[in-house]
Amino acid sequence: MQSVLSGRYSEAYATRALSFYASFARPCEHSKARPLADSAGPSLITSSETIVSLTTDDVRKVAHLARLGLDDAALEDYARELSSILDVVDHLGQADTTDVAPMSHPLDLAARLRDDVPDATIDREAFQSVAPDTANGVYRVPKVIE
Amino acid sequence: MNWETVIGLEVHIQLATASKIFSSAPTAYGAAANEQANAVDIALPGVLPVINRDVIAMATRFGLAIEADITRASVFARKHYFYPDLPKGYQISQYDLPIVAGGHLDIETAEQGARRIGITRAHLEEDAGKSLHEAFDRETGIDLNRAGTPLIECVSEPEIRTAAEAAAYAKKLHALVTYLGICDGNMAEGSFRIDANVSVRPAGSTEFGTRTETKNVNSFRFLEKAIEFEVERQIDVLEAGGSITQETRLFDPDSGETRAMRSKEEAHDYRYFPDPDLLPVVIDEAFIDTQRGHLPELPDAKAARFANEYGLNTADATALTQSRVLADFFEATVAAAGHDKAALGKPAANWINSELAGVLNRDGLSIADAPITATQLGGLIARIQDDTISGKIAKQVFDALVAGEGESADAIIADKGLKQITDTGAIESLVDDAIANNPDQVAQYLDGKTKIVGFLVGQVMKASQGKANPKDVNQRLVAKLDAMK
Repeated sequence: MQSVLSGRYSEAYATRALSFYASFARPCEHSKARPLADSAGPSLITSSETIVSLTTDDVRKVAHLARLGLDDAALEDYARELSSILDVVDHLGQADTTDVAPMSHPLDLAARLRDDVPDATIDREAFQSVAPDTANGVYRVPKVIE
Repeated sequence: MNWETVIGLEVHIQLATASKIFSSAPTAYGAAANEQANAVDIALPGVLPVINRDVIAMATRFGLAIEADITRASVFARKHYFYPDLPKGYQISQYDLPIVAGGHLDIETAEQGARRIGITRAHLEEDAGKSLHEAFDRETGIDLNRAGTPLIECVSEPEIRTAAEAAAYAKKLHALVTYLGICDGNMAEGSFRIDANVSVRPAGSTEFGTRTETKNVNSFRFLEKAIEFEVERQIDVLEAGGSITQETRLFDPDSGETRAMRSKEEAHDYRYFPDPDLLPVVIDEAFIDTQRGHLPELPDAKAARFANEYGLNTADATALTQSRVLADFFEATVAAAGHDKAALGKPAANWINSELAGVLNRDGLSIADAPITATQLGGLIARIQDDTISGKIAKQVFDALVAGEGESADAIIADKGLKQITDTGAIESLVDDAIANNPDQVAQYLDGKTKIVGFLVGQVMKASQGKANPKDVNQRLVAKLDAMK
């Protein structure tokens, strides 16, 4: 069972890692961002071979899914930067994990569970005071067409 | 061409907890908008989810009841999509490692017979909020009360072959979760929502056709209708040389049709990954044993016991165990009627499945709101069994009980003077009258057309205002008529 799982994990890994990192990428920071490979890459990458290479189309797709607006120049920069990150992460794939159970969390701990006791102290007014638009207790958002 | 239908059902089962899956906000239905959505549910920055222990317990009981594997370390994952009623921008669900894996439900239909339907998996997830499209003219209203309500999503294998089987599966699952006490089963309030994946393929083919998904069907009858419509529609399209579009459809109960909701041309990419906010849920053997100890008698076991103890046929036993409330009503009725379970089971089943079911159906009530109690019905059956009243009079007493005209069958029988005539002389004279007043029918009887005696029994019953015992009348008539030969 474990070997099947680790197979599945690694297969889906690139997509997950991508979305994870893409979720931190914000267009406004782009101009200031240094290519991450410059600072973090060389010391960690022991192989000169680039294993993972993202195209700008990959980045465009991920950016769209995360609802990030990136222009063409930004797409190229991110393709390069994210590729370096994935290259670093991909080195983990070189470790022999045959007998290692896959982990879903960096901490080797189990979740603590909570008793099913409701707490009705909810200050709707306070919560809604920061919302752009509310009426009759509901949040108002632009019309959603199905 | 002969077509084979392939159906898989995904059912969202809302768990009957007091608080939400990842927050302590209450889950009660019908509160004012957004008054049951706390900081976690509306996804304010800095909040963290904490898992409700009862959710894990309920999912474990569900897994045990369908004879599935309980995952010893299950993992919550984030499923990303953007919609205004999903405040985090992702739904916490389960992906690689759902808490329940495998399992099955046994169903039976007239056409297909008894079949075992495999269950692929059942995972835990949080519900989204509600979008109120009709609330405003130009905006959509968002009520997040439902956000974070615990759900089990139970996914069947694509092994269901007919609309009737789909309904049987859904009913079985509904019975199971309400027996387990993990779901209130209220379909109108959305506690049990069914999505039907339907495709057709040439009979004998092993490849699946393109499927459509009909979403959020909230009654068994609608499920059957929606699938029947969808199968017909798909066959029509294919036979006209067209092809099926993979899409989400909605069932419209008014027209009895399904219509396209949104096409899946842009395949969903939910970008699942393990939620870093949540550690794996580790379940040990002691926990599983405790939950196993909490399992009630389940529908199949109860149906088998009913058949055995009360002498019921499979159809009656199955019908009576469809809900725990109904099964309890039946047992209480028999207990109120007397001690002989084997003799009283069948009449009690008949009264509940025909007369009472008719009343409930007519008034749109569920068994929980039955206008007659099990004690009252049992009391009525006792009076039929001891020949105090005839079956025909019993119907009258039943109607009176339903209408609230008396506390008990005995009270109504006394009030209305419905007690069967036990005075032999009175019955004898009614029998003599019937023979004297109907010479034609008597002649026919003597001529060998003995079935005509039913007519004469009817005359006596009419004259007695239904208070004679028809069996007794029949015997007396036959004796007198045979003596005339």
